Amino acid sequence: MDKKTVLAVGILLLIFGIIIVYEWGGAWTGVKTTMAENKTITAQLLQDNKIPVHEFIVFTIIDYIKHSWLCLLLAFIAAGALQEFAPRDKVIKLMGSGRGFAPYAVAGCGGPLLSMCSCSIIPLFGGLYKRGAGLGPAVTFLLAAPAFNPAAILLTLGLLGWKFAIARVIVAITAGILVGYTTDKIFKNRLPEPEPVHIDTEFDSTLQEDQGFGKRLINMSLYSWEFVKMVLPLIFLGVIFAGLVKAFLPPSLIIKYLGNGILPIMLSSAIGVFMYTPTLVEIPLVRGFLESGMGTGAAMAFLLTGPALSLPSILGVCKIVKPRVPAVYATLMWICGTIAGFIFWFFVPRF
Amino acid sequence: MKIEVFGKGCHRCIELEKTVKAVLSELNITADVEKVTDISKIVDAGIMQTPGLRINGKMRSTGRIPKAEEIKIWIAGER
Repeated sequence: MDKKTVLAVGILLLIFGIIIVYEWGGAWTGVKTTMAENKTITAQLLQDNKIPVHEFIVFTIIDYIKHSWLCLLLAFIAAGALQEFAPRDKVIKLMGSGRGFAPYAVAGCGGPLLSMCSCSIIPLFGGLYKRGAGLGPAVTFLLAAPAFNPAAILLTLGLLGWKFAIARVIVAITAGILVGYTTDKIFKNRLPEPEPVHIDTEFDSTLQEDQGFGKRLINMSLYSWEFVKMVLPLIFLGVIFAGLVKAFLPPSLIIKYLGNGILPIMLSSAIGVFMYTPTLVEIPLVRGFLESGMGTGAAMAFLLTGPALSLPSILGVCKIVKPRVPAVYATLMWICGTIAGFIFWFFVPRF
Repeated sequence: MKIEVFGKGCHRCIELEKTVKAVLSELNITADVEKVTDISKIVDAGIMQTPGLRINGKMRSTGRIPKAEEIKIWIAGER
């Protein structure tokens, strides 16, 4: 065993230790109660107008760090592990082969194995489509992948609680498959066959030496670090924005437009379709809105459509397929978001 | 020599471009480094996972940031 292997095993043991200690502190079960405490503190702060704005922001940041640092840590580790260990080529092949329901299931559930950064999803979508995977599975993948990956699930668990985390997974996969399938049926035989592209998969592997498990663990932590550098600043921005929302937007306004009811759910679903939300940022954002009176249904609708779609992503897809296609799946996704929000509101009426 | 870096401008693609430029200046080679950000061009090149690196029309890597030593060998192989 070389030094690096020992180091990697040490890192893993340390992580497990932290998790166990954290669990003893009752972290996973404590989300709900601390949320309630927060609400009263925020209310008190709001009543006293003398409290300066920056205190809201500082308060929000500390509060978020308190609740999300472990989940974030785990999320980054999970993202790095997937990058290093996931059999991505196999998943891509599986998505492209087979008929009937199988490719949809792979596309809906295989998202987390492939990527988590929304900017890398469009080339994958294009590749899948042009390789002949079919429009349906490609759309399913495009829509389900951003919401259904371990990092997003862990952070949702930490900041929004287990009900949101579980519902999000179910809703993302279901909506992805439904919308993908319907889009495929609508455009069946109406689109020209994509001209096939030659894809290089055989690379010069002069330097791909046989890597031991220890070496791969080191690679994994390097990938994790990459994700930290990429995502952490964005999340920080999201948290600051959430603090600003809490400080400046009067709760009455949020309750009116994003509170409970069918219209707020439709509105928030539509906002999610167009607004660009970087990976993972939607979670602190939604928590900020929830604390100021956003309804649970509206929150779930935004969590579904927000990361899956955005105006830049729609425009990007327009370069690969006819603009009619994204127009159709965006509309379908908006409807799905509304329905999902409504169902979630029925089961979980209060945060 | 023509080197193409494919990527929409995410963190990893910028990193790859930096690595390529560092290798070029270290080897003291002038090459035409092109950053391809157009999504349809990326897809047409057959790249499914960004970033991608193509040297003189030969796809060398996709979906990862190759190490500087690897890029050195590839560039040396093209001279």
